[in-house]
Amino acid sequence: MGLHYFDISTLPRRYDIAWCRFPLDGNDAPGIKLRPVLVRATKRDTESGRSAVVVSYGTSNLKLGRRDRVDLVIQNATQLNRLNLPMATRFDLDIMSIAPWCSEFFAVPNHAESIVTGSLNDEQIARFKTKLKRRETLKQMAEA
Amino acid sequence: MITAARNKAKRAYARPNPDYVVDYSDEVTVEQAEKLTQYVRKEFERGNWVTVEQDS
Repeated sequence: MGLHYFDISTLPRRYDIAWCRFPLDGNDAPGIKLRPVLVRATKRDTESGRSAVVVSYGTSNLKLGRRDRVDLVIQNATQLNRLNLPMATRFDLDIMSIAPWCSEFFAVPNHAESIVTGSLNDEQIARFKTKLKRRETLKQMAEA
Repeated sequence: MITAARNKAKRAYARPNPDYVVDYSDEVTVEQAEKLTQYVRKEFERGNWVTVEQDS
């Protein structure tokens, strides 16, 4: 595939917000649309300089009242500005993907100066963890 | 405190590409995510991938 990996020293941290070229285009290659993603895990290949991130995708389709109980929603103007998110954003925790940390998949949005535009603060991390617990509870209830 | 430790200098990897547009009004679907998985599958079939950080 010949991907151009970033140096591992630039690998985002868990809870960072990065910008990803997703979804793939009609040819199943990274498209021109950029969306924010929440980094949930990071990986590296010990045999090479390659690295990857596991992400949940952001959408401006908030679905308040339906999804905000189980997804992480950021809509406070101060926090949006701090994270360099141009609009209220819901990170859909249903879907996780692993993506190579490379220039084919990650890019700087026009309104920012770097691919990683911020990190969740302590309150947001706590809220994120609460959503995961709630999801687990709902899953157990559904299985009971 | 955790946040403070994580606040680092901005990391610039490249200049913005004017061909890219910020558009995330649509939700990501399972099918779209699966396409990505298929697209990058070979990248993860070689090497020794280890987790650096993950959800706790």
